[in-house]
Amino acid sequence: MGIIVNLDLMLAKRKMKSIDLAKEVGITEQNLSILKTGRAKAIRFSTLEALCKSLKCQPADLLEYKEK
Amino acid sequence: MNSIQKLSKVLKYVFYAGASLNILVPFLIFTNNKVMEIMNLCRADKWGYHTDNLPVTLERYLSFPTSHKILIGLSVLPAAILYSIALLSIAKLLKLYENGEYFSERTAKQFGNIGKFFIFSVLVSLPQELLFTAVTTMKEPSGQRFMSVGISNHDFSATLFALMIILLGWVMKEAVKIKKDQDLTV
Repeated sequence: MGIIVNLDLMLAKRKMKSIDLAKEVGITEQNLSILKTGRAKAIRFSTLEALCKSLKCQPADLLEYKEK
Repeated sequence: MNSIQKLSKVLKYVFYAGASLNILVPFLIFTNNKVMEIMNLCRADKWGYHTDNLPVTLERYLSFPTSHKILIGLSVLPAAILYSIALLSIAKLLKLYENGEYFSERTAKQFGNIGKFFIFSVLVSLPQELLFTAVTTMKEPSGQRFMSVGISNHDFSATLFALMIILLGWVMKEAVKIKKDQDLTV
């Protein structure tokens, strides 16, 4: 499992669409999809900061570790 | 189409032709008297087929029956086939470039294939020379039959060139992995 990105959960909580979040954060929808589907190999702090700012949450709300 | 694609589209046919001629020409030289005489006249030293390297005299060679000449022609084919496969791998790489695929696992793999087949052709050419001299002199009188093998500068430089290509392929493969990770960095 490893690191899980709970983006879908936060989008639902904030009643926000992916396309709007992607615009606000400044990344493409494709990159947002990569994050959502767990295919991302790494995330920049700048991106994480922008996500937390847009979703008004903490990094721990977005990132979760589950043992493989 | 960009300039890489345009050039690759034309060049791949050059390597297809080269791969075919690389098998056809040596076979023809050793099986056809006319071609052998032309090679002798042209002093095709640079191509490695000059008749000074024949283990028998040219006149004696020209008098061989066709079946013997075909056998001799077949004995020079193994290394030529492997070299042709290397040339076909280059053509395949150019086809990938033509389709806009410049930097991928497939292009890296092709570099590896090119290097490997060049090395195989060098390795096979050593026992092949044994086979060639043995087959050419097998019908000579006793005391005039022999087998020879030699390593030349050409073999060393060809091996070095092939190793460089294999190294390049490995570097490309690792670079593709790094690029993949970077593409998946958000």
